[in-house]
Amino acid sequence: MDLVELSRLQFAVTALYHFIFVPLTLGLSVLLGIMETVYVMTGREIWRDLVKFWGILFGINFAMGVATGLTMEFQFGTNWAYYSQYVGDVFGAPLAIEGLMAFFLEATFVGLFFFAWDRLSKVQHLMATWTLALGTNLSALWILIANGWMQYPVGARFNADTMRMEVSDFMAVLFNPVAQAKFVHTVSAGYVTGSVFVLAISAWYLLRGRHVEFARRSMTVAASFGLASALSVVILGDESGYTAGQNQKMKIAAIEAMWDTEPAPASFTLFGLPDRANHVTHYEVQVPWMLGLVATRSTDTPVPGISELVGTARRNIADGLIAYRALTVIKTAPKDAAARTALDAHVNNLGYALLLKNIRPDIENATPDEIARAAASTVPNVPVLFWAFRIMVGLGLWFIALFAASFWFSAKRQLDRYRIYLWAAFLTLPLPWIAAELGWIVAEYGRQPWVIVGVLPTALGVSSTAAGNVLLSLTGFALFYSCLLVVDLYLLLKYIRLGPDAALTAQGHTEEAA
Amino acid sequence: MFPSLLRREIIILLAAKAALLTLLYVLFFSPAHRDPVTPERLRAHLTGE
Repeated sequence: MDLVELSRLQFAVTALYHFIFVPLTLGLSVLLGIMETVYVMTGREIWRDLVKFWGILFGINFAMGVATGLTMEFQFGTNWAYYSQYVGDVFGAPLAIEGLMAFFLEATFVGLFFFAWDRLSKVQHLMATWTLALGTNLSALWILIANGWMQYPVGARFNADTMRMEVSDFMAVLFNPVAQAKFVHTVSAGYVTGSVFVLAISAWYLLRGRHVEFARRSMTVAASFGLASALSVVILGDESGYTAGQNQKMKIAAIEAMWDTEPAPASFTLFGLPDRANHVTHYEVQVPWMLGLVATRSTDTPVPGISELVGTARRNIADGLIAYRALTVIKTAPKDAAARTALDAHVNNLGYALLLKNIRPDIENATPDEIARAAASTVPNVPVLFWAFRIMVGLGLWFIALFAASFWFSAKRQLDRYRIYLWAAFLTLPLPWIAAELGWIVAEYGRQPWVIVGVLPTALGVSSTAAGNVLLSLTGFALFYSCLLVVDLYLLLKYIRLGPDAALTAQGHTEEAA
Repeated sequence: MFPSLLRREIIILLAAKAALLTLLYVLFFSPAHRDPVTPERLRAHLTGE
């Protein structure tokens, strides 16, 4: 593997690993707020025990999330130095705000949540818990604003003197439609993860006949919150589909394995076997109109296929070469007015011209065949996106069915009546993580070959370092993260097996000893 | 405020953490290991041959 592939692999491994912990933190923080609100409203001690027990599991997960998130920020400097220099003025701002505003907020209030039960009034502690939940969600907001800008870079312009992208409209960056759609979709997925976690562990207690009252109450909260969240994921996922249909047309075409533009309204491919070599999808099963309605919200707007979008990319590369030639003139003659005018007129496609750097260094001399190859490189890995998306959506529908059944049994007070339901709830435990990771694969693998779509190809963002350095740190991460995973699973399983009574007693002894 | 045993443990842990962070900095992040990216280098990276 070369330097670019190793750098990408390292970021992918650390990001996917980090996202094991993030959705549970998002979901559990809100569930803790709901449970503690019930405690404050009813005054019943069992609800306080619920908050404390699920809080222990939240704390283990929160610590792991923080530890694994920090390493990703370092990678921007170590492995992605050119990327950081080129777009750091835009990308760095939401990351800095996330640290100063959201992370400090959650880091402060997580301390109050754990250690201030006897120092704050009930209402004060409840406020601390909700502020902790707010902090975790705000943290996700700023991270996804940064990520949304990578997918749809609005509110910034290229400065040829500083050779950087600079913010021109911060409100456009903040209210980027791609970022906003990703935020609500991602936090809803986190709420589903938290709800499945509580539901599955409570189902395990009921299967064993342990902590029955505790488990029933936990499941009741998880069922209602989970049902609302699972429905939100689908509805807000539809919003993500629409914004992607407007702003990330290649990603939508790849997810659909739509090689050619279909007449409006486009059909949604339910099943098929995408064939990259021949640009066809075998054994297609289609739902008429569905893609047109999701991606364009109309019946008369076609959804462009991959071939048409590659043609657009080819024209963008030709246009971007004008900007590139102007930039090379400015390099030697900074005050050349004609070059600056040409750059300003064509700068939006400069990134497309830079795709040629993967093919030859002197891109001004690129042949039509090389331009066609560069345009073809804008197509992401279609089968991976096609299947990752469909498995994710299938799991999303399963979560709705599970939570609907849970809600019904909860309303009928029959949560522990059907063992098959309890087993289904328990065995669902790993599925929201699979869905969330697949969602990120669709989002980020579907962004390739760009690190910033239309602005900077991924290969140009990596640092000038030796591939061996990246391999060494990647190996270190793999070893260290494997140890962390063992510790995480050991701690979670230990407290889950102990159950609420013994776990809270153990924690109480620890606090007394301290 | 804290029992002396706990205070000693916290001090030892903080000292070990500071030493570990310093070691990490010296081994991997000090200026000797940096490859600074200036506007000129970035210009050469993007527009050079």
